Amino acid sequence: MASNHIGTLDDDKWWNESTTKGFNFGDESDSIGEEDSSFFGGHHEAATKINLELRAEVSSLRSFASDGSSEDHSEIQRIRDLPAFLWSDTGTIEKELEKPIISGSAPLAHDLISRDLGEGRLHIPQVDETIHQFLISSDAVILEPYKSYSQKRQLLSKAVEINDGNAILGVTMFLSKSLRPSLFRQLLMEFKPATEHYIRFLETRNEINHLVDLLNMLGRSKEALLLRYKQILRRAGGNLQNLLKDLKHFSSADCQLSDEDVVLFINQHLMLLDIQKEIKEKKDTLFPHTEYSSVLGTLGFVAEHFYENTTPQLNVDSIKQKFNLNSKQYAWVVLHALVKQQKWPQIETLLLTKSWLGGTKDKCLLPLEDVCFSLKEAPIDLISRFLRLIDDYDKRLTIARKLKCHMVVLDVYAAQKDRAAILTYRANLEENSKEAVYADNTLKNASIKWKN
Amino acid sequence: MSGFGMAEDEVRRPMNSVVDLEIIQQVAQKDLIALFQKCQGDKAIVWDRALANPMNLIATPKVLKEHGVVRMIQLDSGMALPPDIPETVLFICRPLVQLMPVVASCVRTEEKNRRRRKFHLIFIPRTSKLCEKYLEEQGVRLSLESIDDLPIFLFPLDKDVLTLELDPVFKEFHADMDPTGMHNIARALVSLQKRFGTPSKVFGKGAAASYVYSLMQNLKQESGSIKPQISGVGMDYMILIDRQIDPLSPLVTQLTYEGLIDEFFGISNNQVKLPEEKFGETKTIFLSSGEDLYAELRDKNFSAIGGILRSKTTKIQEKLRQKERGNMSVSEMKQLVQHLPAIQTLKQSLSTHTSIAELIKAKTETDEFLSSLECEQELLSGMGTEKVNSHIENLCGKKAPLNNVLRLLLIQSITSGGLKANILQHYQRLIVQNYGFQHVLTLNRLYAMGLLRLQGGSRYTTLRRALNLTVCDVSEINPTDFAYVHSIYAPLSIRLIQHRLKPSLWANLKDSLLSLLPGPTVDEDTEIPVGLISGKRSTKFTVVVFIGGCTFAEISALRFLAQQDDEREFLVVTSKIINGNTFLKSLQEDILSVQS
Repeated sequence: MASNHIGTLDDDKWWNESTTKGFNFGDESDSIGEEDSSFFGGHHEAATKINLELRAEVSSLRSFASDGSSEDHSEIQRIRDLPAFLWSDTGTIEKELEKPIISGSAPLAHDLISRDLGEGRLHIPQVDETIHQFLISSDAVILEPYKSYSQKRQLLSKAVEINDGNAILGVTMFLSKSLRPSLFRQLLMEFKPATEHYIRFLETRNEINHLVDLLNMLGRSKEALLLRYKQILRRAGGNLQNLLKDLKHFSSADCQLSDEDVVLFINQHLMLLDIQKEIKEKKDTLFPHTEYSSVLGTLGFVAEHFYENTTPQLNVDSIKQKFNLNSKQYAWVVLHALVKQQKWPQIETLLLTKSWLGGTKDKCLLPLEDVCFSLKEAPIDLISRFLRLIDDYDKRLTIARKLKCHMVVLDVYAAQKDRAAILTYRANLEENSKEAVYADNTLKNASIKWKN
Repeated sequence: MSGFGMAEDEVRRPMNSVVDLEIIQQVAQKDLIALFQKCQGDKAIVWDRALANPMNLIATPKVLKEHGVVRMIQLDSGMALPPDIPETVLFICRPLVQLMPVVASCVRTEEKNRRRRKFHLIFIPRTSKLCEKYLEEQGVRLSLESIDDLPIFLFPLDKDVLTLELDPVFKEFHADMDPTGMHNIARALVSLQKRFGTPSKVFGKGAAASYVYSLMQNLKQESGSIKPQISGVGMDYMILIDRQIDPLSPLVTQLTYEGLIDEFFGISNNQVKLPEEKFGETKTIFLSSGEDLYAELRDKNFSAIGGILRSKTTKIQEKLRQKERGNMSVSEMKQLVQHLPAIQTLKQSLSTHTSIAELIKAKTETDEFLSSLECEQELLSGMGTEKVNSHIENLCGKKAPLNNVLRLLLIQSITSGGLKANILQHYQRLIVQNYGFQHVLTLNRLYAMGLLRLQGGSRYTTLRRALNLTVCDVSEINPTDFAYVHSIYAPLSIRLIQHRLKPSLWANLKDSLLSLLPGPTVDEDTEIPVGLISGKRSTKFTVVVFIGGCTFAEISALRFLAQQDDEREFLVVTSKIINGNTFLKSLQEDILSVQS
């Protein structure tokens, strides 16, 4: 694409809204373009003079529609910072200049043009015709002959009307090159589909700075934030340092003034990255932060490697508070980390809350069934302790049998006064084992009224 | 097959006896080969991954070989062409800009290595300005001898199903507001009508539906009018369903045989790759109605599969035992020998499908599956949709695949008519904290598309009652209602079609229904001059177009409708076959893949 071409055009040509090499749909466009700019030069001369000073200022800003990406950022900023009259005024001047050059069968408005046309130098097809060409093949479509704002508007309107992706994009690109930014923006606001196509185009070209500005201009600041955030995530790849740096910059530069709720998450992400950085510094081993990209993943790692740590950064409690973690979620993650380290006593402290006001029974934070299965490698006493908290006898029995907590099984049978069951169960226990003795004692217990 | 072993089974009518989709395949194949003939000699094809499979339905590798294709390579990022390929290289791609860098880098590498190559690029189904522009900018446009397009829009999956293989149509149209996919669909439908006739009635619901319909009108004007009726085939109805009017159905777990195969293993263009545990190695199996047993099984609820497989196996064993015992009359013997090849085929089929059924059973019996199914069915029945669902919470805690969580979350959001702000926030935090911050983007996309919503009048409750969306007592073995495809839930999309086709049902519901579903309505009835109608029109032939994809369960439900009504036959045209996972995947932000 002739990316810098607009920038090198002289002011007159730019003012005439005609670009010689904007968005070329065909090879002939070059010659036609050249012809036309000289052809229409006289026509616009008067207006051009009137606005000489204005032009001088605005001309430096015209790279809005060109292709340079990051360098353009500041310039677009400047466009937006310009006093309002520059935006609106140029628009109205533009409208004054707007003359129907040719509109199909309509009588020609300007004798200058009719004279030249009389010489048969130019045939501009009807807007409808041109746009419909896109449906057949976009290769042959030439848009450059359309000079006036109203024609360009018509082109876009027709393209949007027939709903053809290629046509909409083709025209939008042409307009982005050949129209002044303020007018281009106006048209985008008016024709939503064109905006979406242009946005998509900029995204595929990875012109994020451009796009972010456009979105902000259109008042879609949340999308702009998300887009920037996505870009940062992509650009960092898996590099923690870069991600942290970029996100910090982003957060202080763009997020400070925004009240979008995504900002909350972005700031939390930043907090998490700080913790991850700390982990990397403390731990010699490589900490694969991409595998622990979530808060709870990181929490798990901290619980596993820094459980007794009291420094505020690397402490499970402080993480819980910082991110306002749900107690259940928190308990799950820490439980798994403690199981891995076989820190059994700590598990009791983590999960059990003594009920007060004289209650005798502990309460468990998590569903007991799941807890018991997570503890299958724990000492039998610990598992039993949790098993006994399951109120439903049948459930307790099934799980206890699965986990081979014989004492609990025997207790359930005893509570159900099921002597026969104990006898059968005892047959499978190792002779003289603690459990076998316990079974015998249970059977001898005179205070139980057996049902069988 | 001669009907052996089917004799006592229900008689199934052909799914579509009206139009012959083979013509579509033949024409497409001819066009492809015509392009091949432009370049002489041996050639290598570099396939866009997403096209390689569907193109198989158009031209088999054997056919390609006959026309000089000696190598097939997959287009992959970071790839280089192997040195030992013919001079002529054809890239066959969808018109997607993200594929162009790969093409460009292949071409450049070859040039750097000074290899003599003739490159051609073929776009299916049409060229894109954006792609060509990109290649120009990268300076490789001139290295390509030709850029052509091959207007293959439709790929026949079966006698009654055509797919466009357009993956992200739903997202493109409703999130990116990009109508390019609509254009392809409109073109495909116009070409279909040129071949098989114009329907006398058109019904469509949803923004994409009316969009496609208006594009079709435009296209028809462009290419000159199509005669309203072409002899022979009578297309009675065309129904356009925008996925947006029913995003719920694809999220619900499919419980048909075919649906479950797709949910667990993913069917891609009639092929499924099965894990090695049953077959000793990873095995690719071809699934289509060409296989009698599969044609019978595919649409049934999985609960019915075991019984059918068992009884058929017993019957076969019986027959073979009789033969061994030798106590058969000569005529019986003769008949058996005649049927022997068919019996062998059936035996093979039975063994394959018994293995597949066992693989599925192992998965459907797990706690994960059953508890999620239970949660899903509660939500669909309108139970507990108001509060934070503890099963969804637990799934997060257990690090279940994110898609499983999102499916249930979206089902809750839709069935509750939008979540309360604090509940949505809770879920948002839950997912981000468990699965990573990048999913802020995922959730935002879902929110922007209206799949994840804030509270505001529950349409679902009203629709559920009006359309009888949940049916508790439908038999899974001998169903009387197509709700069996999800055991208790009848897909809204198909219920809408069912009601639209029955004037008596429609009259009552019309107004309330159309206002409850989003987007504009198309409802047209073209009177066809009597003189133009030729041939008998005893069969009411309905083309159902799913814009944004449909599930196997939905197709099964339509086939069930066809079985119920002797005069009705359906042809399904879908932008893609989807299931909950692929549907969600097409909506998600693709960050990680770009990272790698």
